[in-house]
Amino acid sequence: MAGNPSVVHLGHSALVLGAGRRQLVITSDAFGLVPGGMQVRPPEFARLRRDLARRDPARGAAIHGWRPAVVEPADLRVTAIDIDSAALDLLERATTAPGAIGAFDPSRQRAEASALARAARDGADVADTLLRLIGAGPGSTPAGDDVVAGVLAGLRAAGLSEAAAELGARVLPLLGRTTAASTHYLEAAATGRFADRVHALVAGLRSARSAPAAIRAAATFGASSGTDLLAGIVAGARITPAIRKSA
Amino acid sequence: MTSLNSRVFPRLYRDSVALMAIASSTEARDGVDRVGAVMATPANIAILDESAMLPTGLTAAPDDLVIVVRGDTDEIVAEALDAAEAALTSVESARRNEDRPAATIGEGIQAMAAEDSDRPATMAAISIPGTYAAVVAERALRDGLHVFCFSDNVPVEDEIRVKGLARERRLLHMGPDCGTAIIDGVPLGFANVVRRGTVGIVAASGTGAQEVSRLLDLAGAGISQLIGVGGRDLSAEVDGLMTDLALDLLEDDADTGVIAIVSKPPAGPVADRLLARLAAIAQKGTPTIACFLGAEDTDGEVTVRGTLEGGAIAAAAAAGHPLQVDAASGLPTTAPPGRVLGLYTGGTLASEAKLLLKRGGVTDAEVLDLGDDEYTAGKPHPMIDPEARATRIAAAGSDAGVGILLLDLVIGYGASPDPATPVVEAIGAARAAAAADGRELLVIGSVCGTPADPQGLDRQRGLLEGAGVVLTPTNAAAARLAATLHTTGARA
Amino acid sequence: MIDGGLRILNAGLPLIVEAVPPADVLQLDWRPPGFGDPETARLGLTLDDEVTVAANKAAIERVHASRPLITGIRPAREVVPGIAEGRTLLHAGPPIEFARMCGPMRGALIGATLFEGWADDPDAALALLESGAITLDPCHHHDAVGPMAGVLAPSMPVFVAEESTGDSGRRAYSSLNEGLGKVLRFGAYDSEVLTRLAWMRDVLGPTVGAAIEAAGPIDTTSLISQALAMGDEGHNRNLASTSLLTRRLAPFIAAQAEAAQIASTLEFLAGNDHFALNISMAGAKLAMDAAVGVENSTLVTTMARNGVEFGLRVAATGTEWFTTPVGPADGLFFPGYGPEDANPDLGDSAITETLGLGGFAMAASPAITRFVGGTPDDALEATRSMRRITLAPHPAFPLPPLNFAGTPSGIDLLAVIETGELPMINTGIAHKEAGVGQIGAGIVRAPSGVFAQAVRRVAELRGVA
Repeated sequence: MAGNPSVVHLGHSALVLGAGRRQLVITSDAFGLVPGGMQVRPPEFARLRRDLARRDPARGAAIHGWRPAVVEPADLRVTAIDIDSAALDLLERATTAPGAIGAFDPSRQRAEASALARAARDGADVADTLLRLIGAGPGSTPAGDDVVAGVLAGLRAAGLSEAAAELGARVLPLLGRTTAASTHYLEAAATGRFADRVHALVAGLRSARSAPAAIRAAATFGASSGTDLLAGIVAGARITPAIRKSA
Repeated sequence: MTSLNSRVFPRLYRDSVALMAIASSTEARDGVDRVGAVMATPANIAILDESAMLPTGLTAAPDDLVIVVRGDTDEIVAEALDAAEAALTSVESARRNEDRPAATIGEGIQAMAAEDSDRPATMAAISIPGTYAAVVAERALRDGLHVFCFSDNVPVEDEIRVKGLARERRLLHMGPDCGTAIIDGVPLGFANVVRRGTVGIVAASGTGAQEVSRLLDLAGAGISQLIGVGGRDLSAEVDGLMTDLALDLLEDDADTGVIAIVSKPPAGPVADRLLARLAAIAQKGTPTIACFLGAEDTDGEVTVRGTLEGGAIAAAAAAGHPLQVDAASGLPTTAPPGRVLGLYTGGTLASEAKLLLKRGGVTDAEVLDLGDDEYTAGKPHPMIDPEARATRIAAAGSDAGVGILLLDLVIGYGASPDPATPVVEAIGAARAAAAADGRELLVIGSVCGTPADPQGLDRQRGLLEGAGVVLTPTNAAAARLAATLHTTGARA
Repeated sequence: MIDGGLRILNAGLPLIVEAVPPADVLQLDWRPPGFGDPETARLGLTLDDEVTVAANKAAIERVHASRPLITGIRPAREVVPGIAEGRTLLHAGPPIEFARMCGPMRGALIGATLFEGWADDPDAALALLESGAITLDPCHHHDAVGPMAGVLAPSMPVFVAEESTGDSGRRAYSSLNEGLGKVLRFGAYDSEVLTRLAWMRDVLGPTVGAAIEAAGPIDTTSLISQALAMGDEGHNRNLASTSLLTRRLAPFIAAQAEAAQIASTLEFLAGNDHFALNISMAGAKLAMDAAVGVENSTLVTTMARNGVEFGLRVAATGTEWFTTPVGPADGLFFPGYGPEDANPDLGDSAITETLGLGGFAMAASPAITRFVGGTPDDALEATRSMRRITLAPHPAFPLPPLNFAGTPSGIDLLAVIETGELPMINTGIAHKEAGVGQIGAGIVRAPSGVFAQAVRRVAELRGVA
């Protein structure tokens, strides 16, 4: 990164460095790659995390002498897949579980997912819905953002890339209403790129056998992120005109 | 009646599971109704408002974490917010410092690099038992570190081997048995706070270096570097291995305009080679002073001086800051009968005293270097712990054969926080013992220190003068005064 | 004068550097190297050069590249080199004469003698052993390893581990685990023991062996790696690996002919929490053997105990043993037992620590502290401290509680010398009388003497002594 990056956040699973509005997210193999990010082996991740944690904040996050062993670019775009209706049902059931967190219950944001997806398909006005969702809800990436990202992924998985692109375009101007970290992911989602772990959830749409794994994985993302994403994915995926009935 | 308050944590991220846990545990507190722990985005502000959870005047940005608490009373709400804040900070610190303390040189290098990769370790300071010192020093040199080796009792073969390695790498190995250095203005071991200046000193002696450097400070000349090479560097076996490198470095040092060596006289061939080297340096334009204790003063290409005082005077003059050693007024003209007893903490200071007493015709002086192995076995060095010397000072009062007591008082880093007080108390006891016997005691001394030393030079001098100690500006002057007064004193 | 300013590592008195800004001083927690012997420390330092570094790199790469497969179970006499010659019994640890052996090992040898039918009663067996008519040799000399007394007899079934990478044709063997209580490896030799051994030979071995052949070879690396993520450490806690193994093999066991055999085999596996230990050991033996004889390498290739002495072998010195008397482990004792009942440390199972499992992987197994003592934090600390003396994390054995860092693997003799940190072994504690069984579990440190001997010998070979 040019200039002197600063440390935005050192998490268990992601190290977020920032320079201005731009972010570099370093994750380990355990978490998976995220758009605009870099995935490193766990020992490297642990070492970077430790080095950055010991840093004097005034000195910034410049790291000298670190060369990643291998650099492999990855394509994080979600593309159309065959969606299995039984899988979709299983996933949907998993997202209706309540998830109250203090005064903020992400179910509220999840409930908006279907309406958003349908509006996107129909080219209807999504402004009000987006205003209610973006930046809304608990979590350092607010639940509403995860729902929106999920819808964008679901639409693409359903083959509705144009609808997704249009919806994405409506999202971009509203990014000032949410956190910098979330902006990073939403920006990528708006152009069809998603983190490894979102791909893992999308994969659950393929068959009833793959759905449970996706549900279990979703439960491990943060406090409610996974389920929020899943709610969005399901809503977006339901829009497809061609759902294959399971054999 | 409910109370509502909030706290904003700017640009604070915590993982959502932790936030959820903090929110629920805060909500579970007695008297707390609802808690919100969310990022302060416009949408969340709106939700807070809807739920009557928005305090008035809240200013926060989307990247800020806000915790809002609604509870029965202001106090309950404030305490709840405190608890939540504490939980927030402890989440991060719980994961701090998983690493054990570094124990080896290699681990230390890694630890320092981890702390700040731009400023890695550059030196190892070693004051472990001498049997292991060479192994640790060698490891440090191999890893590219300079070495300051305070440890003594290092076998000479080890010293030769590590200094050879240091020379190869162009790294300093100061020691073994190096008590004093000042590198780039930083005192190491027993050293005074000396102003920066142009005199570079290479010293094979600790208190010798201290006396010369503090006199240079007094003169306003100051030093560029004080490189200790250890007491045995100029012996025949070691043959000046580190002195050679130190001279190379000082020659290349832009801040050094005068070079002085401080040592007891080196072995014959070593001395010749060294003087030749110093002469060569002088020819290139840098004045050189060889302060070899006990040598005959000569002036040539190299200025040779046989006392620390003389060496300091010559170096200060060469640096353009002549040292004014005023003949102090009010000096005593007689002394009680009896021999001169020198009780010294600094080895080279004791040697200088011994030498000058002898030159002054005193044949029965007893000068003890209480820092010597024979006196310190199993006990701390007298500069660190003044007890041993204090006992002897007090005992001198009961010794009818002692008329003059000669002392040094060394302050600066490494020395105890208040060396003068135990001395003063002991002198009091000595005088009382002498007086009971109808005798008197003359105590002469000098303080080896600078105004910037941590103990406070003026205060230390004041304490000694208050106890009737006659203070001279230099150690040499104290010995000369003792010699003069002794020979003129009436014998019983 | 000092490029980069004064940044000081202080070994010794803080007083010496009191004038240096504290931020520029790191006070080392210095301990005398070489276990306090300067000569040992010096040898260690002298050996630490590019030649050794390169040799160690080669050695550890071989070890980490090893991928043992358990391909089946066969009678020892068919596969273990040398065991079929004359009358031979193998035992754990470095070589030792029968007269000096500890109680449990003597008992185990008596039991093995009876099992082979070389004597009709214990007294006759003892006489035979004392007469020297039976050749006694370490398992390690025959590509094998055995836990506790580690006695291996020709008729016993053994796991066969084969190297799957490269074409080395290397193999390693270990006995099948009998379970806890009155068992041969703790020195018991009564009819219950012999009956069980016979059943293992006639039923368990063939049944499990056939199941392995049907299921396909067992990748021990994968098995142990999964088990580490489930709370095992591969030496003293093997419940997960045993469960995974049983689950894997059960359908193939069930598909075999004899119903009675199926039932008794499955029942045995269900009741023996440590069955997979012997597989872990065979895999570790095969991996470490990859480094034996790598010239100039100071990698430790064997740690083993015979109940009297601790034995160490180092890559550069090949099959040469360095031994020193060993004491009992300290730890938690079962009710009714205490340190006075304990046998000195015993068994080849320290081969797991030699690879980087067991005590080295304790971070993966905080629950083991309930058996060996300490707290879960101590378990994390144990693994971290072993990093000081190992060459590299093992890429195939990540430890989840440490952010999936690979377990510290490959003990470097020179690092042990310099830091004074001795390898930590999780071990069971046997009663010193033959046949009583396990009386506790604890942590034992390898004794310093063997490392001092080894460094002298390596220095001699390198010509730098």
